[in-house]
Amino acid sequence: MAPAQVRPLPSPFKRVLLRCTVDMQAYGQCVTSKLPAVELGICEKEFRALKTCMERAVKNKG
Amino acid sequence: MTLASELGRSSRCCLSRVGVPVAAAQRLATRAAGEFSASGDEVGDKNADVFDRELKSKQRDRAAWFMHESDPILDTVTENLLDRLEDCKRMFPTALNLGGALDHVQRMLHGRGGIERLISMDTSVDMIGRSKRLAAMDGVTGEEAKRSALENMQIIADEEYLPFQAGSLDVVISSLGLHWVNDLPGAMSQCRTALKPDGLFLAAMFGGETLRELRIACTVAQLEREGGVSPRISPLAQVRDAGNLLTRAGFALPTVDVDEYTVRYPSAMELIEHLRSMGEVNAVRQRSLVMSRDTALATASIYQSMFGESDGTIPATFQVIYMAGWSPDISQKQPKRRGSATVSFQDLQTAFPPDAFSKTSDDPKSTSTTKSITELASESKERERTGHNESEETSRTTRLPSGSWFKLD
Repeated sequence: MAPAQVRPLPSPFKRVLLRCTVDMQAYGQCVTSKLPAVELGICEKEFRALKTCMERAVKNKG
Repeated sequence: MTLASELGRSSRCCLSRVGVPVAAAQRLATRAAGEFSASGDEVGDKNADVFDRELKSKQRDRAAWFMHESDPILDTVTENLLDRLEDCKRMFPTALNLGGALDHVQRMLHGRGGIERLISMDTSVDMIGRSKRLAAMDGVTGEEAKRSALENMQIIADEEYLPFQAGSLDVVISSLGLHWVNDLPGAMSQCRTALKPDGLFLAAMFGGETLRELRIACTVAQLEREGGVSPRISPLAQVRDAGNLLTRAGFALPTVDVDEYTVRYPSAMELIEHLRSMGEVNAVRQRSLVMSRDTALATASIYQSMFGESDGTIPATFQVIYMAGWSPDISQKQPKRRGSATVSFQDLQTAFPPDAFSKTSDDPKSTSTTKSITELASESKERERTGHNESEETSRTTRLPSGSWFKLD
């Protein structure tokens, strides 16, 4: 079975994924630890950090 | 809606020339009679449909341009599906190719099942254009003799309003095309009507476990970011319903089997891109129209941390249900009429008396003289496990009464 040809689209989201892995992990860990009782804004702090990183990543290139 | 404009060879096609196609008329009749479809929409109420068909057709238009030549999932599923054609001794000259992995079926057919005429059908114009280009390409390069001998036709039509005359098709193949249909039992029974007697219906569709990880990650992300949940993954048929679907559509000898494929992606982004290129983007009517960037970001992070593998890739499950059914025909074996049994389970006990199985006389299990079938079965299993010696086996077989007590016909 041949692997799918991945055509790399230069999307800003990709840049975010590449540059903000630490913040993404922190946020992901926070939510995973709170399962199954996840509520609105339960990991707000980590998400704010991730959002700032994302905005920085998107702004710097574009 | 005129279909004749899309047909090059209308003289040899099997469309009915009557005003309303036969199968669709039947469907309207059943709707009027008050039948509810599997998706639970009300009788005659178009707005209660689960899937937005027009949107799906637009998404497939887009996917027609993005779809890769060889896609691992579509190729594997189509190959598995077409393989089943080789298990049949019959030849199927006329085949209908329902939307989904249209051109994959066309490309990978290789003349299996004796198919001479392949009609590809889809609601999306660009998908059909792609299929046309593929057909033209084969003729020009003149690849295998079998493939170029395949007569290709393309139709733009909806699976829920099948434009075929009753008893005109030999086989209906649908590779990952039926999971966006609103009225699935209706569509399948229209297929059955359109098939000749002893015609084959082969379908592969995504099952309930598909994209389980994505569904979980989406739900958790929405709960955390928005406090509410909206459907992001379309409702999919469960494996246990597939058999019911086939029998409800009127197919004889239904067969269902399931395969689960796990595909790994570098990140959630690639997964979404892949789904988009296959045309599998969400088209549920009730979905919230906007997915905020926050939620998308949250989904990707949660997916990664909940399901990420050690090397950073994420898995995605695709559960495919393969269904096969035959349109009824007198040549098929029918189930026996109730009350026509000639032997009963009591005869099993006379054929295999209880003391034939006991290992020793003081076996704690053999306290009662007559045992139920389940006890006999569990005892024989235990015997196999403990590796009982051969002599008891031979002694058991000699106790069989002369003539078979178990009739097979």
